[in-house]
Amino acid sequence: MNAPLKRKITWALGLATFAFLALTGCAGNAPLDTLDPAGRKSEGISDLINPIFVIAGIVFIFIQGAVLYIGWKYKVRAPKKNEESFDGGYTDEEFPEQVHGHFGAEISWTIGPTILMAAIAIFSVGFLLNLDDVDAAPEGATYPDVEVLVVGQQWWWEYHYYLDGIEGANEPHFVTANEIVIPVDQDVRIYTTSRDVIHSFWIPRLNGKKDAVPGRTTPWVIQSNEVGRFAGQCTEFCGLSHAYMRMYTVALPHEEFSSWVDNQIQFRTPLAEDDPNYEGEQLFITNCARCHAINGVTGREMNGETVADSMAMYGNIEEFRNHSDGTLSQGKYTGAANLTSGAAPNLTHFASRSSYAGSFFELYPNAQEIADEGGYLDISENDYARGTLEAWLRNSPKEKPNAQPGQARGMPNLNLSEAQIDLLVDYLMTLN
Amino acid sequence: MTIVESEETPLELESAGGQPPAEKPLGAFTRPQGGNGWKDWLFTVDHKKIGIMYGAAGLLFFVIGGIYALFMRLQLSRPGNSILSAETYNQVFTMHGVVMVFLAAIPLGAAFANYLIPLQIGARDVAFPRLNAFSFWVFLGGGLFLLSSMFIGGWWENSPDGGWFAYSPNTGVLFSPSKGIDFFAIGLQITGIASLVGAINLIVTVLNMRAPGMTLMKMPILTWMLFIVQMLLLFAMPVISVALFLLTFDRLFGANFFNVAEGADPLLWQHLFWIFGHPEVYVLILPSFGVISEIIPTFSRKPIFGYPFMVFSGIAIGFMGWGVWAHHMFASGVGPVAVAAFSVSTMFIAVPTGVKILNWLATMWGGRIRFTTPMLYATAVVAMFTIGGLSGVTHSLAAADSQQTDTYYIVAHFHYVIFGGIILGFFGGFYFWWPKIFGYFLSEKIGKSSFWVMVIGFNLTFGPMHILGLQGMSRRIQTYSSGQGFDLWNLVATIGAFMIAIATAMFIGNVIVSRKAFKAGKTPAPGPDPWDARSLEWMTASPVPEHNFDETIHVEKQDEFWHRKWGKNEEGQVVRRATAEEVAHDGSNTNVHLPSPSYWPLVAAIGLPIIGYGLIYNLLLCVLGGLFVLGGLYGWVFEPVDDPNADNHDHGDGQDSYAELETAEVTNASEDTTIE
Repeated sequence: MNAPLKRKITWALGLATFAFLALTGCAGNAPLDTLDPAGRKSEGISDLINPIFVIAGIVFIFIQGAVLYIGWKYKVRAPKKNEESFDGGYTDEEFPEQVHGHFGAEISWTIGPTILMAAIAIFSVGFLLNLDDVDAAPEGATYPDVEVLVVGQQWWWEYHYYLDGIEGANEPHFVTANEIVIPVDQDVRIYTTSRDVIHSFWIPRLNGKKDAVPGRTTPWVIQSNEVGRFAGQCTEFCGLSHAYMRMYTVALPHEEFSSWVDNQIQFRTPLAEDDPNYEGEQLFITNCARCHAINGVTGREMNGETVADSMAMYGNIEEFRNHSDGTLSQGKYTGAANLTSGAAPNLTHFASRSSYAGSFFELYPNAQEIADEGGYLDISENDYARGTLEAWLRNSPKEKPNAQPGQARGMPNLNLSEAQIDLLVDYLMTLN
Repeated sequence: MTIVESEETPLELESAGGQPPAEKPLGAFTRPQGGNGWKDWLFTVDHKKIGIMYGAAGLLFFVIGGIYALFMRLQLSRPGNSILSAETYNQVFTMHGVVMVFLAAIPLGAAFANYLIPLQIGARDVAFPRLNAFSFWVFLGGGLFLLSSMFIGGWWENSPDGGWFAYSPNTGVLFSPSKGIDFFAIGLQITGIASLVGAINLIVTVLNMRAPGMTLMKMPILTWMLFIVQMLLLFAMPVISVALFLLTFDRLFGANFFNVAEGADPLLWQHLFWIFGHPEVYVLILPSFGVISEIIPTFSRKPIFGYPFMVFSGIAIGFMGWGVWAHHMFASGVGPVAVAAFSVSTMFIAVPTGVKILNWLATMWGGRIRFTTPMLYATAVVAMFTIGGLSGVTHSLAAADSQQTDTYYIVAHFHYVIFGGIILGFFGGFYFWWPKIFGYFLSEKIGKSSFWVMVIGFNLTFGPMHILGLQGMSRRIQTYSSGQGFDLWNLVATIGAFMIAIATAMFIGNVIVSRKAFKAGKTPAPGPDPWDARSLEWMTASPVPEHNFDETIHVEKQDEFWHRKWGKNEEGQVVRRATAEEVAHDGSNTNVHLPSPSYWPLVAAIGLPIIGYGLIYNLLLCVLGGLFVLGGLYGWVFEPVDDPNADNHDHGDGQDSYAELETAEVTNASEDTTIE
């Protein structure tokens, strides 16, 4: 087979592959798909980029077509079998017209693209400047001013809810982890920040990403047009377990959001000694409470005092607000100053969440279907994945890479017995 | 003059009765003598040998970086794979980036610069030959220092794990307690010295050592692009040096430049890194642009279309490259106004790049194109780089970038730029200049088949990554889950990566096979000008003799060599004036002064990695390394300008007038002999 024929075949194959790629690429079932927007902001981005993809596609076809056409039209014959291939074709001393350039052409293909880029610039910058604007809440929203401080840490996300907005509030109304729940059709202002390294908060179907930089709080918006659960992934490399740092955003109807808030805001009371889960709770207090809080149950030592209300560990918003001066200290617990988190997810309503461990594991099989069909509020009524949860408690570094022992980031192996694991799982699953 | 010299200089030597002269100037500080095997390479100051060593080292590091890539692709070939642990994966992707950017792409560009700049401007060597040797050895030392992190203190225990971008505070001691980031910071500091020194050397070379008549606007495009690259390096390297010093001091001496708890802002690192990092992209791509700007006219049999526009678009890219760095930081929260400004500046950098692409196409348009292997590669650069450029435009829109950044879409984008634009161009350059450099052809047959394997493999690897990225696959993740829709394209990408590996192996095999075939007399010698090329490096024998040119070339035109071969008749048709063999120098003039080899660049360069180990492990080692550096510099200063024993003729001041005089005499003498 000679080279030009090979070339044609290759190009044909290449184009076919590309077309195949392009078609299947959009059709796949990908929970993180940026081309499948479900929120006002992501739709705006999509509307902005789609015409650019078209323009780029036209230029692509033009340039590739030109390369192919020129290559086909102006090539001299390939050397025959017995010729020295590297010296073939030039023995004839024939020359094409020796063109050194064309001023008009140069000017036009300098000015032309400049105008094109200027046009793109003009209609993209306006959109860009409004990208993190927040629209007023729709009529009938129970919490029109809900704002959330989104705190990244190795390797999970924490959400501090300020139901009346962050202005004027000091402490959050409640704190949750991994899954941020928002009312549907309402712009929720979030502020990203970090306790340790830089992370990036990204729910592709709702909005672009925003880095969570320690010492800074950066405003951003999430909003969903539909009820459901939307996957996210930390997208700034944040060390060992970066791949395992995921999160979900769940959009609930307004009344369900109110019920969810009413539940989340509840503290627990310590169980009575005759409660079947009393032993599990005691195990939790001895083994887990050094890092995990259950509001109302686990007392935490702070500044030498035991504070019954573990919400205090999250401090007030002044700690996080407007730290362009970089005065934010790392972590709230100064006792753990040599590490960064010191805190682990608040487990007060563990069983009300569909996933755990940086949303890497599903607590309920089929959680996605349940949430998309509007069953998120009562998700704890479903069967849960006991086996995975037990495996997690048995040896969590095996399930998800954690920092070296002693660095205290990520959950360590607690060397629990099987009986203890059973009791703990039973107890945890009551925390709905 | 030859006669005069044979009466004076050799007599002086012979007066010692064939013995080395009793009086060595300045005691121990003699200069090594060339011509004996490996020493010839270790102590060489010849820009061509140094260029070859840059190329060999760059290829070696390219293979190593490629092996890292294969392991990454194996790990990601299916969901939930466990070939590499998260810890190792993070080190491997970091080393892949660092090795490919700093130890493969930069030195391969430096190889072309070192070998070709002096030849293309008609010079004997670079301005500071010993400094040139110094920068190579420093680069090699820094590179080996970086790679040694794999072995020291345990297998993959102390490799850098913070990504090639090394964002703080993740690279602080707190979050990266191994010695890896120390190796990263100090290793890059050392290779940075090499780049900076080399840049100064080549800038002086281009500005001062061009052949008479070669004005700046008559220089070949490759020399122009490489010159711009050196300018970029000159200003970019100090920035990364500062950043790396800050990082090193943070880690080793408890400074607080990036310590958030003490009030630092981690974005400082990002600004410093990308003010270096974006011009760095153009440091990588412009040499390749230059290479294909030589290949395309040669094989289209036409001059480059729009020479001044090619030059000025290169300069424009160089300038604008300084004003776009924050487009790497659109998601970092630098504020909407800054984001908008950098978004717009990024869009407009597409303009000069587009000018280049259209000029290459216009050069090919109406030509008589011969698709040899180099031309195939050059054409592929035009096609593939365009894809990278277009995807670049799609994320110059900062809003769109907030979806695309840190996903595989970006990985696809910059591999289309770096692999499609740079590596393919460099391979084209290898095939193009191989006969000139080594005196034998690389097999076109293997060359063309490996080209297709490489281009198809490349597109299979990085094409699907566009889709993966838009489907939301993050970068730098060690694993993904099966429900995320990433399975198929990751597998395809892995297959493609192995095709690239096969193509690279085919290239290496080609070198071996072609060399054997040539030695066995199966392939003809290329002669001075196998491709009917245009620039001065083809106007001398292949392989290039040590002294480059027999006589000083007086340049009158751009593409001087071509104009000596071809002219125009009255009808304006191109007709032959002379054959290449008639025009080209045959390398027979051995009467040319050349700088002598030197021990000291190597000695001084060895000190730097030793200082590096000292900083990490034991400060006493720094003293030892310091002694090497100081001793090397001391010897450097005090060694004689020439060794009287060396068989390299006497030393003039190396100025053109002298060489001219000399060669003029030589010509006369040889003419006389002919007459006799």
